This record gives sequence, structure tokens and C-alpha cells, in this order.
Amino acid sequence: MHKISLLIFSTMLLAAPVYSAEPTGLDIMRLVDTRDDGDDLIQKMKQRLIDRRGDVREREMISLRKDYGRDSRSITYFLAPSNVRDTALLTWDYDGVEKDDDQWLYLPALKKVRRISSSDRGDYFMGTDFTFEDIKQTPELEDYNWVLTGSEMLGDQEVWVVEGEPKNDDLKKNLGYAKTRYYIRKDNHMYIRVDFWDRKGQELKHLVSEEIRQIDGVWTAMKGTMTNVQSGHRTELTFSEHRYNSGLSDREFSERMLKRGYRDSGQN
Amino acid sequence: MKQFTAWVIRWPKLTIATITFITLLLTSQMQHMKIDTDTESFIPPGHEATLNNDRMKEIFGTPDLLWIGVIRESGGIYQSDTLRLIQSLTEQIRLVPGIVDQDVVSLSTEDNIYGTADGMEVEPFMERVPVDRAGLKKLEFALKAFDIYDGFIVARDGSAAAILAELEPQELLLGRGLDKFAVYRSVKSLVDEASKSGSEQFYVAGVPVAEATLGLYIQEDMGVMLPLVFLVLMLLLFFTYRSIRGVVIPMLVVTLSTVAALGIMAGTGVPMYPTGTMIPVVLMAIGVADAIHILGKYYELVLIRPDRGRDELVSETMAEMWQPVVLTSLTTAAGFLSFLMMGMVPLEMMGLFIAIGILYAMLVSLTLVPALLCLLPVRASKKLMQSTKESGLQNAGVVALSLALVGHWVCRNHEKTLLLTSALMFIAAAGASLVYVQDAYIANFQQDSEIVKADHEINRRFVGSYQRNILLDAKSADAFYDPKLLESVWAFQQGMESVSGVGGSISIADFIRRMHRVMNEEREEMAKIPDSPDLIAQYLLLYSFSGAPDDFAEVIDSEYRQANIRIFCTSDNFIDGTHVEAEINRLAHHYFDPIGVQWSIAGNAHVGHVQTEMITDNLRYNIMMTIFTIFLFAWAMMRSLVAGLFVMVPVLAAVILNFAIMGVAGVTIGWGSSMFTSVAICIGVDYAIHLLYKVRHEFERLRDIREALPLSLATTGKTIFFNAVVVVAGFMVLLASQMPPNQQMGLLVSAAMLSSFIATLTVLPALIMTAQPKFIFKVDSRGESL
Repeated sequence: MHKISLLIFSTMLLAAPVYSAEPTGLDIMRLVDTRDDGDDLIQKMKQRLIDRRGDVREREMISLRKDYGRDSRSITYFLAPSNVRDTALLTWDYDGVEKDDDQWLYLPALKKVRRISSSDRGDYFMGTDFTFEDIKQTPELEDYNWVLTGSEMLGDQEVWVVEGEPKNDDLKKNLGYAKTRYYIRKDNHMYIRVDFWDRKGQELKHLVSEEIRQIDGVWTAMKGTMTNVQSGHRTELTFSEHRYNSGLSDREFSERMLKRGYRDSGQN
Repeated sequence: MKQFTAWVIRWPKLTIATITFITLLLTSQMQHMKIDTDTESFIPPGHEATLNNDRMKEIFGTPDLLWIGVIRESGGIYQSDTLRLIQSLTEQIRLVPGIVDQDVVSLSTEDNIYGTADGMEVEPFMERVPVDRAGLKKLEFALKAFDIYDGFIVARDGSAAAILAELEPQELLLGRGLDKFAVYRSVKSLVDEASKSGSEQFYVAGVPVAEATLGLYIQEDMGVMLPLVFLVLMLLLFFTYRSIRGVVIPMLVVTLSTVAALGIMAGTGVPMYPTGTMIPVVLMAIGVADAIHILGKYYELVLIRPDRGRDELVSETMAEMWQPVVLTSLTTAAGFLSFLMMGMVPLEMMGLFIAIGILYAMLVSLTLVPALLCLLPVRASKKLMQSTKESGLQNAGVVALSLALVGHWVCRNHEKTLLLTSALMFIAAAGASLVYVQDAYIANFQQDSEIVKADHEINRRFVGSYQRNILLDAKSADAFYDPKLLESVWAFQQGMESVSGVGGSISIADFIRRMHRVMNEEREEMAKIPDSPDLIAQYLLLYSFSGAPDDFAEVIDSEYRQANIRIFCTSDNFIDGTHVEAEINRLAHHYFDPIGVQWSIAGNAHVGHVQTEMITDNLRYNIMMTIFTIFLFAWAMMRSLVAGLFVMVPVLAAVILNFAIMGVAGVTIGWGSSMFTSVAICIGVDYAIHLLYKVRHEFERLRDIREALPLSLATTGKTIFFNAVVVVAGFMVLLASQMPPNQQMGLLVSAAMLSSFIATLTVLPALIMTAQPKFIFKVDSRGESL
């Protein structure tokens, strides 16, 4: 009996690619999750926060990231506006929910490093329209039910449309979403558009990723725009000067470096 | 006019059909009626307060807040069951369609930001409801230490907690097929459900509540008052005429004119404002007058010559009555049209549609009424016919008899009457000087109503639900990183918070002071504005990390050029408001003018204040305009300056007397009581016009004023008496309104009508006797043409 079911199961598994041309929603999200994003990265980031009247606040920063298996560390230095220059944020990000992330902040005008508490997934990232969940390469896959709803052309790209619904009300409340919908390019597994619905089922935000190109062999979106359709606020993030896999040392992600500030020459 | 009447008498059925058709057409429009209780609708669009308010909403959002107060008298709110209730109610409210999920604020939604030995913690005040004493104490302590929230989401004495909710902007609500009323109702039903469970009391207050409730009141008021006025009028008419036609004909006139006016209003897209509830009541009370006078004359003729044919009777009635009917309708309409110069849309529209209704009533009175009379057989009370036959019109009934006696007395004592009146006016003027202005939006509701109680409880325990906003413009970007400017803002706030009636304030300075303390190990002496602009910028950056992208949007703009100081006031009454606004002006001049920062005042409490100021300022102006308009009309139509003046005297005397009563009784001037004068003048002047016409008519016939006057009082005076009784009764119905301003207005107009009636029948004849004016005594061959 046991052997028979195993046999049927293996047959089905083998036959699957033949009978169903399309993978499941979860399969696709796994492809997105495992996409190569380099072992470390240095990049410049520009934030443009645009309020509903069209007034803009701009910030520029440079950020370094290094992967440690499933964990990662990153450090971000503000370059502009000048009155916040050298403000820096160091984050040790631990995979999973058991251990809170560690974060340290340096305010140059105070000349002190302060430890700050970690943020929740649904909190806004640096006061932008992105939440910490949105800014990650992929959301926590096991927290959502993923459903492939179809394939279509978006712009000149063939995409899968995958909908993710947080598995329970607590998750929905923490994330602030009742539903998300990803448009994922079939060729490189990058999502180029995400729509978000709030807990009342009303359209909340949408994210558009643009200028997708390969840098050092890694597929990279140079620009992402998150628009909150309810508040009329939006955030444009533009990235530049990427350097993947430059072999950043552990020293770069320390309190000492946080205080010292960013010096380009120090990287080489 | 004669030809017109002849045509009506010839084609009565066609006339009736035409009028019915037009009215039905207008009635069909009534389904489009909208209601507008917006607090800002009283202020003209271009006014500074509206512009500032629009600018504030544009830059800072700052919508009106819904305050849900949870009060636990015994032991305070820091008990696990109450906190659980607050948490679950907050969660439910966040999910109400039309409420901005992220902007619901209570102690279960907000983060505590506090300093530690080596850093800063951001964590919810209450992630889980504490179950032990230590946990409860810790929560209480944390909220007390966070001065931005103390008094805002929890009462300073710990007896209450607030859940603050924001409604989505109007356009967004409409897009979802919702409105303020619907959202309020959903929240209210959740609160009602929650209040069933335990030892807490729940209150809902705030501007959206007041507006929604007022809207509800308007609908309910209309539902109660219209049938009530109808009933009262029918009863009165029946007791007056004791005949079906005596009831049906006047009721037709008022019904048709009321539905026509409201139909035109709905059809032209004009919404029903709080003042709009007055329209049907005023129309019913006034519209009935035309029909009463026509019927009065008709019966007068019937009593003298019962044997004549109905067409002849109707023709003669109309020949004598069309002039006073047209004249009174036009002057009254003109008086109400003078409201159009007030500059406040709800009052303007009330005046306009009352005027339209009056003109429609005139049209119906000149067409439908004679047409109906032609179709009905001639009938009159046998008893009255008998007494008339025996001793003339002056003895037709008790009323006629007593009024004739009054006439005789005034004829003999006209100088005494005038002297007495002058003396009374002199005393009254002193009483009138005691009247002062006091009003509040909340005064629209009865003292013991739920909304007044909620307003009282919430404003007693929290910073206050009425907002005044000081908009600062520093003229250059990043100006608000300047420590000096922030110190001025803080000093201004300190000054304002010591003013009575101000419960608290929030500005960008609060957040910077808080951050400075947090980043310096919570040392109390560090709760201040730091000296370095860069540090301020870095604090704000850091603070922005802990919230939503538009968290500061309510207090500062993106460029850091403009800021919004939110002042929370505990009442919106006019006298407190005058004091608070004076202090704002004084302190803003002191702190902001020297450093070149431009400032202006906005906010719902300010708008309400300006509104009351405008209404009451307008009051004097409007009374003048009404008097002047009516005087001009009367002068032009009677072609006599003296007649114009005479017409005004009785009603003016009545109005002065009324102000005296208000002054002595302590009735203050608000939006309701401020309109009574104009309404009273508009209606009261009709009495004088009718009487003057009659006196002249009788004098022309009898050539003896001592006979003409008593006879006029016995006939037209009697009709005026019925008319006054009907108007007084009609306005007394306003006492059934749920809105105190309407009740006040009803009482005041009733009193004014009563005194106006008395003055018309005493002062006016006395004046005629004393002055012997030409327009009565010099009746020449042109007499009839006038």
C-alpha cells in the first residue's frame, strides 16, 4: 500500500512538468526568492518623497550590504541633505522571527551612537511609502497563500500574475494588507509591478519597478515607485553606482564604521 | 386686473387645472433634495477664514476628528477589562469603511518612543493588555511621561481614554457611496454595542458628530413640524370659519406654495441648510394670510348682501382685495429678498425661497381661490347673518364687537395712546440694550441631549474637541530647523495653554523636544529645543523613521517652510472664543511679528467663531436693509411717503419691545434669534398695510374717521386678529423642534406678532387720528387708482 502510493506520487511528480505547463504560485515566488542578488552590494540610493500636493523631499544615501547565509548586515550613510549628512544606520538582520534585528544609529550633531529598537514588518521603511516587508527581495513566503491567477503581457514583458493573501487576520493587521498581487517577469523572475489592498479590501498602494538591467551579472531594478492611492503620497527610489560582490569585509558593518562615516576610498 | 379676475371667474376649472399641474410638476423635483449641515457653509466662499481653512486642509490635511471617549468613573481606565474593550473597539473602528485605518489613534495603536541608557526604544504602548498591577502601572506611567499624548488619548486624571478617528476626505467618501452621516452611524452602532457590556460610559463627539446629528434633526424636524403646523392651522381655520371651505381653501394655498418653493429649491440643486427647516413653517404661517383676507372680505360681503350671485360676490371681493394681497405679498417677499444681501448662503437661500413661496401663494390666492369660490355655493352662518342684519358688521361676533370698542376708545384717546406707546418704547430701549451675542454650534442641540452630554464629558476630560490652527509661514525652505523660531513656537504654545478654554496644543516643537529628551537618556532637563539646526534636522529624520511618511504632515509641510500649531479648545461658545482669539492675536503679534513669520488663524472653532460674528454683525445691517426695502416698497406702491412710514411704525414698536423682552429674559443673540427680527418685520408689516387700505376705503365711503376706524377694526381688524392667531400658532409649532435656535425663533416671532398685532390696532389708528395724513383724508376723484 505504502509503496503503491509512493509510486503514484513519483509518477505524478515526473509527469507534472508535462501535464501542467505552468508552475504554482508558490513555485514562482520561490523562483523570485532564490534569484541571485549577489553576496554583497554597494549602491547609491536616492529617495524622493512626494506628497499629494507634489512637494518633494529628497534624500541621498549610500548603502552597503553583505549576506551571512540567510542573515545579512547593512549600513546606510546619508549624503544629502547636508544637515543630515553622515547620519548613519547599521542593521544586523536575522532570518526568521525568533530573534529581533539589531540596529544602531549615529547622529553626527549629537556625536553619539544609539541603539534603536527594531521595526515591525508592517512599519514604514525610513518614512517612505515602502514598508520593511515591501523593501525586501520577497515577502515571507510561508505567511501567504499564493495563487497563480494567470499570465499576461505587461508592457513588452510576459509576466505571471501571482496573488498572495496573508494567511490569517493577525498577519493582515501586522502587514496592513489583505491581498497583494505580483506581476513577475518570466525571463528573469523579477517582479515589475505589485498591487496592494488594505484590510477593508480597498486599493491601497502600487509599486512599479523600472529600468531593469543586468549589472555584474545580477538583474537589478534601477528605479522603484511606490504610490499610496489613498493618501496621494508616493516615494521614488532610484539606485545607481551598483557594485556587486566586491568582497566587503565584516569591519564595514561595525559601530566604529558607523561613527567614522562613509569614505569612498576606504572601500578599495 | 379686473380682466384677469373676470377670466378666472369665467374659466374656474381651467384655472384650477393649470395651477394643479404646475404645482405637481414642481413637487416632482422634491426627491432631489439634499441636506447640508457643513459648519463652513455659512461663511461666504471668498472669506479669509474659509481661505485659511482651505489652505490648511490643502497643506496639512487636518480633518475634523471623531472623538470616542471611554470613561470609567470607578478606578479609572487602567484596568484590564476596560483596556481590552478599548483595544477591541479601536480595532473595530479601524475597519469601518470611510475611516482611515492608519489614522485611528488610541492607546492601543500608538507607539511609545522612549530613551534608554544606550539608545532609543520604539514599541507599542500596549501590544498586549497588561493583566497584573505592575503592568497596568507601567502603562499609566508611560502615557503620563509622553506629554504629547497625555490629555489627548488619555485623560490627565486617568479616568478616561479616547479613540480618535479621522474620516476620509469628502470626495473619497462620495466615491465609495458613503457620506459623513453613514460613517458616523457605523461608528456609533459599534460604540453602542460596546457600551452594553460593562462599567464604562461611552461618548462620541466632534464636529462630524454635530454635523451628522444636525442633519438627522433636520429630517426629523421636518417630519414632525410640517404635519403639526398643518394640523394646528386646520384646527384654527375650522374654529374661525366653521366651514369646510374655510379650512380647505387656505390650506390649499399654503400647501401648494410650500411644496412649490421646496420643489424649486430641490430642482435648482440648492441643499437644505439648518435654516431651511424654517421655510415651510414661515410659508405656512404667511401663505395663509392672503387666503384669510380674501375669505374675510368674501364673508363680509356675504353677510351684507347674502342674496347676490356667487360670480358677482367673488368679483367684488377680488376687486377690493387684489391690491392689498399683491401689496402685502410683494413687500413681504421684498423683505425676505433683502436676506440676499447678507453674504451667508444658508440665510440667503432661506430668504430667497420664502420669497418665492410667498409669490407663489399670491399667485394661487389670485387664481385658485376665486376659482374655487365660484364653484362653491354661497353659504354663511345664520346667526352671524342675523346679528349683522340687526346691528351692522361691527356686531358680527365677539371679536368684531371688542375690536370696534377698541377702535372707539383709540379715536377718543389717540394722544394718550401715542404718549403711552412712546413711554413704553423708552423703557423698552433700555431693556433692549441688555441683549448680547452668545452662540455655539453645540447650542443647536438641547441641553439634555446625548450629543451635548458627550461634548461636555469629552471636553471636560481631554484637551478639547474644538480646534484652532495657527498657520505659520516662515517664507524660506528649511526655516523650521531654526532653534530660535522653534523656541518662539514653543513660547507661543505655552502662552496659549495658560488661556482658559484652551486644553492643549501640538506643534512640531513638541516632537523635537520629545526626541531630544529620548536621545539623552530621558533626562528631564533635556526636554527642550536643541541649539543646533543640524541636530533638529537629524531628530526629525529619526522621528520620521518611526512612523508613516505623512506623520508630520499635520504639523509641518514638506519644505519645512510652513507649520501648523494645533490649539485644542474645550468649547466653541462665542464669548470664550472671543477671549481665546484675542489671546492668539496678542501672542502671535508678540512672538511671530518680530521674527518676520507670517501667521493666520484657521480651524473649525475659528470658522464657527467668525460665522457667529458675521451673523450677528449682519443682524443690524440686515434689519436696516429689511426695514428700508419694505419702506421703499410700501412708499412706491401706496405712492405716499407718509403711508410708507405709517406701515413701519407698529412692527418697529413690536420689535423694540421684543428686544427688551430678550434683554430682560437673558435670551442671547445667535443664528436663530438673530433672524427673528427680519422675519417679524416682514410678516408684521402686512397687518398695517391691510388696515391702512381698509381705513382709506371706509373713510372714502363714510367720510367720517370716527366711524371708519371702528368699522375697519371690526372687519379687517378681525381678519388681522385671525391672521395673527394663525401666525402665532404656526410659529409656536417651532417649539416642537429639537433645535433650540428654532424654538427661540418660534417663541420670539410669536411674541413679536402678538405685539405687532396689538400695535397695529392701537398705535396705527392713533397715529391716523393725530396726524390726519393726506393719503387717507384727501381722497379725491382719483381715489380708487392709488
